[in-house]
Amino acid sequence: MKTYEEINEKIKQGKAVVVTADEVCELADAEGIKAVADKVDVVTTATFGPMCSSGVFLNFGHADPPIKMDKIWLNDVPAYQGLAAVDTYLGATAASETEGIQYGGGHVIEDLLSGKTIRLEAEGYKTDCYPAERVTVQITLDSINQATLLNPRNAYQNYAAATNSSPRTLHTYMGTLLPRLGNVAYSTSGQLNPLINDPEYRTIGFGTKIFLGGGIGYVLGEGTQHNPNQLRAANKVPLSSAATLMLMGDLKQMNARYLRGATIKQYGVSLMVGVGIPIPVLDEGIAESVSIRDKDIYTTIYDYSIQKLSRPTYGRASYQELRSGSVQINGNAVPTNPVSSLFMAREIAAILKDWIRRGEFFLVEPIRLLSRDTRFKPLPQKDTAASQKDSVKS
Amino acid sequence: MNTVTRRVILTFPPNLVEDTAIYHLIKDYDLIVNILRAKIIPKEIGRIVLELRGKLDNIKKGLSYVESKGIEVKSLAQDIQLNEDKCVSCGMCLAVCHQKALTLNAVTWKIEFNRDDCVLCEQCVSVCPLKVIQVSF
Repeated sequence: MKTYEEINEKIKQGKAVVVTADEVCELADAEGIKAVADKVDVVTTATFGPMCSSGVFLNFGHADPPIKMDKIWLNDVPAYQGLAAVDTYLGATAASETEGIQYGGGHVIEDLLSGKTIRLEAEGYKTDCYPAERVTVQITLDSINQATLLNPRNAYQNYAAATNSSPRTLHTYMGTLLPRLGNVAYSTSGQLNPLINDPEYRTIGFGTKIFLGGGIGYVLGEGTQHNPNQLRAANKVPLSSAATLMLMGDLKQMNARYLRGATIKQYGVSLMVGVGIPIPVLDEGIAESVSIRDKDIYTTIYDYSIQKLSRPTYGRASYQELRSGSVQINGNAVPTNPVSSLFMAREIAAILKDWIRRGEFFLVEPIRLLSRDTRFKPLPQKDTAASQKDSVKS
Repeated sequence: MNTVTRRVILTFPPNLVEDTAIYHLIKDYDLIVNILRAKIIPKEIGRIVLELRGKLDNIKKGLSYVESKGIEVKSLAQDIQLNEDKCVSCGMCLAVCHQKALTLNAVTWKIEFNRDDCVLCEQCVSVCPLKVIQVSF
């Protein structure tokens, strides 16, 4: 048994044993779980891929004369106006009003981070506090007061794989799905995925300090659509999309290599986000969880041609099978392709390991762990509201 | 002399789109011609992606002949670019690359581009979410 304090003391003294979630598997194979619990202090996990539920809070500073911004565009991409005068939230998926989905919120975030100049246009209504009705200025990340990345849903614990049984090509957020089961697209970094390495949320929670977009970030709690009740395998790992995280960090100290504006063909704009999460090996149970391998992590393959909430499935495949290049569906070998980058996830896990080893990054014990009983609900059907209305009348 | 294979892009000016250059490559220079891709519309600029197989000397002479008629010849290798510094190796391009010119290295998990297998179908260009694959036609 170890505590956060003991591990942080070891980090301070440069004595902490830190390995990535790939490396810990090798140690577990060679020496067993007990050796992992005894020898390893921290395991670094990571993921890198398109995460649509991302965005940034900005405070521009006041204009002279001041304006209450009621309509806001950044490089023609609309941002949210329902906050205080010069505050806004720019969502990653917002599309340019002139270029459509070829440029959007995700690209503005990457451009800001790259030091590029962004054109801010705003319109307001005249009040005694805010007489100005229009402003157009050039801003940069340095010129504005705050830029806080706040992503409502990132780093999914596992994710459903996608295929397409229909006779036409589909363009989805899982990329191109070829007709007649032409390919299977999968996301998630498998044995490197943060929440798969902490399947029951024993260490990740409100306040956990993380690698976010190349800088420091924090977990704020469960993300939207958090679904801890997803069906699980015997090793406790969910068999499809499950828990999620809400993440926050100061954009000004991030790195554009790990936040990339993306356009997914005929689907929309997104932001590729790099996330790295350290898991303290507090006991043997955690040692076992972090030693999980791709061959023991399964996901469910869904048919995206059925445009319904409840889609038929083509069974399950392990990440080892998915990474082999093809999976068996109905006796045929179907080619697979990822849509999130294992290459970048490995890079992030290695960087986070390096930060901790060098004594630059300490672990933060969460104030509250993630919920394990949140229910995941669909939108009520139209006629439900009508029938409720009727029942009130009767 | 050994038989070799070369891939080229021929660009026909509008006044030459009906030229019979390809007939002469076969007949006069003894080349095996495989048209990988073509866009020929009367009175517009036409482009053909060609695979030529034959003696190197004959390929050179044949292409000189084509150029002498005013048809631009470019090596295919120069025309598709993967910006490896900006590519994050997400893998979305793999779904559409039926030639398997784009592959994931199973050790490094980095995307690799093999020009020799590319037929310039351009599917990867529109699918790449970071626009780091470009064709300079």
